[in-house]
Amino acid sequence: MQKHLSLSVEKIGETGDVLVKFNGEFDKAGHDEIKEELGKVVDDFKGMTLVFDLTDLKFINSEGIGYFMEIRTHLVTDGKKLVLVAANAHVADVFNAIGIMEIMPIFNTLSDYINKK
Amino acid sequence: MKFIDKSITRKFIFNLVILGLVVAGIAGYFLFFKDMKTVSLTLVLVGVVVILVLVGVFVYLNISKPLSSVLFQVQALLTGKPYKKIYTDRLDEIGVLAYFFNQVTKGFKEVSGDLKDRERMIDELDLAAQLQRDILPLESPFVDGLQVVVKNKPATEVGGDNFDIYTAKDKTYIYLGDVTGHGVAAGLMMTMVNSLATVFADSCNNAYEIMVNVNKYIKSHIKKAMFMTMVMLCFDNKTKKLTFVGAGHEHILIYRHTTGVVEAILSGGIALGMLPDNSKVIKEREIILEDGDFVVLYSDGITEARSSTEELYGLERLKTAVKEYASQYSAEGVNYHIAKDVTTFMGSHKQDDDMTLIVMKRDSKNTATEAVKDHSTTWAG
Repeated sequence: MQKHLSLSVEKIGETGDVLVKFNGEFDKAGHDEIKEELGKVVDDFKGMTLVFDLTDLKFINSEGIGYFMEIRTHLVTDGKKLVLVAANAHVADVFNAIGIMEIMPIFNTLSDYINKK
Repeated sequence: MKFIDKSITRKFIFNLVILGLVVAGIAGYFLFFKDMKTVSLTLVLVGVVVILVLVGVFVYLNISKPLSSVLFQVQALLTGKPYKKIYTDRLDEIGVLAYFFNQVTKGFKEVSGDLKDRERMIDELDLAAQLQRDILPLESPFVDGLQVVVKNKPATEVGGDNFDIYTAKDKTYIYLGDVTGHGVAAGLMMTMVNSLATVFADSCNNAYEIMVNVNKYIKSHIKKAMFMTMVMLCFDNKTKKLTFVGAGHEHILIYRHTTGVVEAILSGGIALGMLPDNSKVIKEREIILEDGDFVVLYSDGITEARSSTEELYGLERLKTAVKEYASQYSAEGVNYHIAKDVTTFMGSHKQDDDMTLIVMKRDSKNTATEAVKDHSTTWAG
């Protein structure tokens, strides 16, 4: 059976920041598939900024954003932050509709984030 | 000598050897120290009987009796009768059997307890889902100058869509909200928002004040990272002016009957529960409606409904449906046909999320032929 959602993890230079790339659809079914893997990434994360690269994320719904919110809350509690980059038009529309940019930084590209940093 | 106790066979052989040695000793005594002629046949027979009795007693005490008590409990278990734990400190085969029996029956009790807990939890979730549905209005009320038709199709679990229509201080509030996720926590948040919105409507003067206060309250009381998108319309019953406040909800669709155009405006704002204070982010805006214009609110269960080929229903399809039906029907007709359209689109695909559709038509004359006949909020399609 084809997976709804998968992820890959890589380090961003020597900053300690970690890039998580999502591929697929971030809804409940997708989240169920990566829950453990993503949870481990968040738990093991020792840097200051966790970056979610959404280039290959084709779909997200409010439930998916709810999971982002949970991760953000978890990170903020430890003095860390979550940054979102490269959302496609659909995903950006959902972010825009829910108003998530009011509380979470969103950049058009990963380079934008690195340059801004 | 525990190594001997570990096997009944070995124990039996050991005891038999001991007995053999005793018999051999007695026989030796008579052979070497007594005259064989004095040993009568009777004495030999008595000796054999004593040996047999000793063997019998051993078998009874060490095998038959304990095995029988174990088998009694096994039989009780197999025939569905009450059974007891077998207490024994034996380390032989019977001890192993008793231990096995105790472990199995302990497992049964745990499984049975888990099943009972699960059944109880399912009952409680069903009850929570029912209570939640009871909170939602079963019928949409008559609003002077406005045809209002609300239809809702809940998914199976607790939580999800929330809507209500009520009047306070000459203003009719119509809102639609959607809590993130499902489950008891989502259901509780929905119930809380529903109660708060009604309570604040009596003390506040507009939708903006209600939304600011509801948000403040839920943000300070809900620690979990949960939020609820919402759009609240306010129809002033005196001025007939329609305003709205968005909190990160879906688009609001407006059908202009003079041009046949469907506008999709973002409700704006930020979802309730995301910020401690949303007063700077949300705002009240007016929708200028002419007679015959429609306003459509929907939850994402509609635009994210999937067909059997996993295609999304989507906003564009919804806009097309509004455009097609609004030019022909009343609010009730539009709601019915869109609901039917979505249901047909989904085909055999499972409903993943709650679906709520609110269709309103500005009708200053309360046209009799277009009066809402079915006020029920149950999904029609």
